[in-house]
Amino acid sequence: MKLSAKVGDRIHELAVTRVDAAYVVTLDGVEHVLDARKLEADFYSILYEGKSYELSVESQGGSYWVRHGAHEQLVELSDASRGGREQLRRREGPEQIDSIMPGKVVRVLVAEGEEVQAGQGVVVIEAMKMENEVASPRSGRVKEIAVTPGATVEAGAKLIVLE
Amino acid sequence: MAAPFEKLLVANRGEIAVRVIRACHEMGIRTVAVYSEADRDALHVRYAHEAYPIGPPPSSQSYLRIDTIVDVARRSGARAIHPGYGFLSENPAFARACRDAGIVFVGPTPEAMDAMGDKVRSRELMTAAGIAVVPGSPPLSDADDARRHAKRIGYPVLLKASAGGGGRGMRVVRDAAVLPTLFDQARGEARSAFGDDTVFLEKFVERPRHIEVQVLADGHGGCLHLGERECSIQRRHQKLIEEAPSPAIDAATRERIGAMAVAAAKACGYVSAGTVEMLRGADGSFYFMEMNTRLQVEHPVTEAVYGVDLVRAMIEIAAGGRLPWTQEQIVPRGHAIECRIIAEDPSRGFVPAPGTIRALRAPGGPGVRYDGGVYAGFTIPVHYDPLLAKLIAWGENRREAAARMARALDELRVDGVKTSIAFHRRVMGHPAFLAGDLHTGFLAEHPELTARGTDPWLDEVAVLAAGVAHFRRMEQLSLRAGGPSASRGRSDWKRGARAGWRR
Repeated sequence: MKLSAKVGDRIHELAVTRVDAAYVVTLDGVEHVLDARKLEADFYSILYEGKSYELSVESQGGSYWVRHGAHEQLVELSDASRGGREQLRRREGPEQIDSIMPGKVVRVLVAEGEEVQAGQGVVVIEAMKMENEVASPRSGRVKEIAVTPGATVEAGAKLIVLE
Repeated sequence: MAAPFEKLLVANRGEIAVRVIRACHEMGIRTVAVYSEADRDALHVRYAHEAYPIGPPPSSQSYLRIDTIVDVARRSGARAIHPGYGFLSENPAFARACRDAGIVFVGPTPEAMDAMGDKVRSRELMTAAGIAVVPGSPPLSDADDARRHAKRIGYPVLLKASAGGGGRGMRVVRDAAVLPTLFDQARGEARSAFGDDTVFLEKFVERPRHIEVQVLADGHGGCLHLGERECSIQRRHQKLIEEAPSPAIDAATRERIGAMAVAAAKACGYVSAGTVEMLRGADGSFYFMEMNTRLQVEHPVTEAVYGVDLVRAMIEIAAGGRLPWTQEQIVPRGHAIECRIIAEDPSRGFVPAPGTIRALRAPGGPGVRYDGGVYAGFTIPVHYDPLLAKLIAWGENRREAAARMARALDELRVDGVKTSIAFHRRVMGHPAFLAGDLHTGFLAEHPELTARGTDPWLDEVAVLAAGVAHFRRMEQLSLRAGGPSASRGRSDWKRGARAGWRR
């Protein structure tokens, strides 16, 4: 299985196979042999190059949050095709601003056609008794506003589309 | 000793309801939980002996309904109500309703709550008890008026909007020359933000520490303090990390502020556990902020260093008991730190991150206490505060407590929602924290603590693990679909058997 993986700003090439009980993972041309066991819940015990890692791996679509102790790292995976790599690259500048939490839309702070800056608040959502400003992850022009004040939204719901 | 009450109702939810239930069960008291429609599956409902619904999810229709809760207490035969913190805990009308219904309220009298809840009266009481209050002015009529008051209070001063909040309409003024300009700015901002341009002045306390003193008083005139807690690490004026004792306070100062807190409690005829909150300026001056007439979230750090059970003490006092200790018997030992584990994303300015907890592992071992209100599979309701659990670590000294906390945070795992765990772990290793150099602007001063999580040393193994997890996921999908498996068509059973033969 060939994959592309993004960590931070870097994209890596990844190939995974299973040989008997072990996993052989080739990362950027270097082969690693892992004794990886899935334990309870999201926990893995991975014995690898003389070290023991207790990790938990949580996935949502192609996003994998890997936790070791209190540390965590986000790994984004796609297939190794050119299209898959392109998709990964694009994830750094999303066109769409989604709600990061379920709640109620209190105010929309921008208008269609308006230029916004990275970090600028675009929508105010009330959740857990607090008003929270959703900020734009990048600068751009507002192409579409997908919600109206008073609307109830789920986590991940589309709020704003930039162009 | 017989239980002080046969049955007690806990008018709260989450970790604090569980905390109170635990104390009751240790004392042989049967417990009654109340829950909103959003909390049918909550942990406190599972732990209590009885549980009753009290209304729809919004707290105004459930956990804040005095009539419903008192009625449940009456119907269930509960003789006492513990309000926890938040919700109705500092509501004198609730304490009165309990009294009128012949039910014991585990907390202070409504009269003491009235006195401390009133800003003007509490300031008068504190001043009389010898505690300085932050000097301030009445609403200002114009810039000249502002200058007169600023001179009296002494620079630096803080301009504040009367209707204010969130820092808007606030200006720090360091000398008289810039006062008129900043006065106009603060006014304009207050007008546009709140539709009210009333501003007033307060003494600006530089690099303040949040210091609070725990007091405990019985109904027989007994009153003592249990030292201080420092809670300077905050976001949006809400505490994230607390500890006892404060690294900035020595034994003599402890005795002095402890005596002030006891005087304050006595001044309002206080009974039960309460907390006197103060600001400590960089120059060592103390100013009274307010008295919290209830149990605090962070009470376990005091319990850890003094070896007492504050909830148990509250219940015994409510039943008419006397304080079992004298001030001399209350001696601190070691150091304790608490981290509030919240469902918020620190890298996005602590936005709430509700969701379903997929996996949860609580830490254990020496010196570690875990007070949780959730479990794996529980969906965090969006209607209430985001506190999932409190982690408390005790050590012989501050450094040992911090190391123990770091270790416990590494063991703690909450998957499925964003939490503050990684943030807390960074704080435990931060040089400024370890040096005890704390003030309420600590997070703003150290933005690296809340930056998006990058732990580069984890990169390689994280990618490998993600690759393995993805491979397994695809394999399971293809097995379920009945298609050829990603691992060359062999099932897990066969492979397992093969591996077994080889050994």
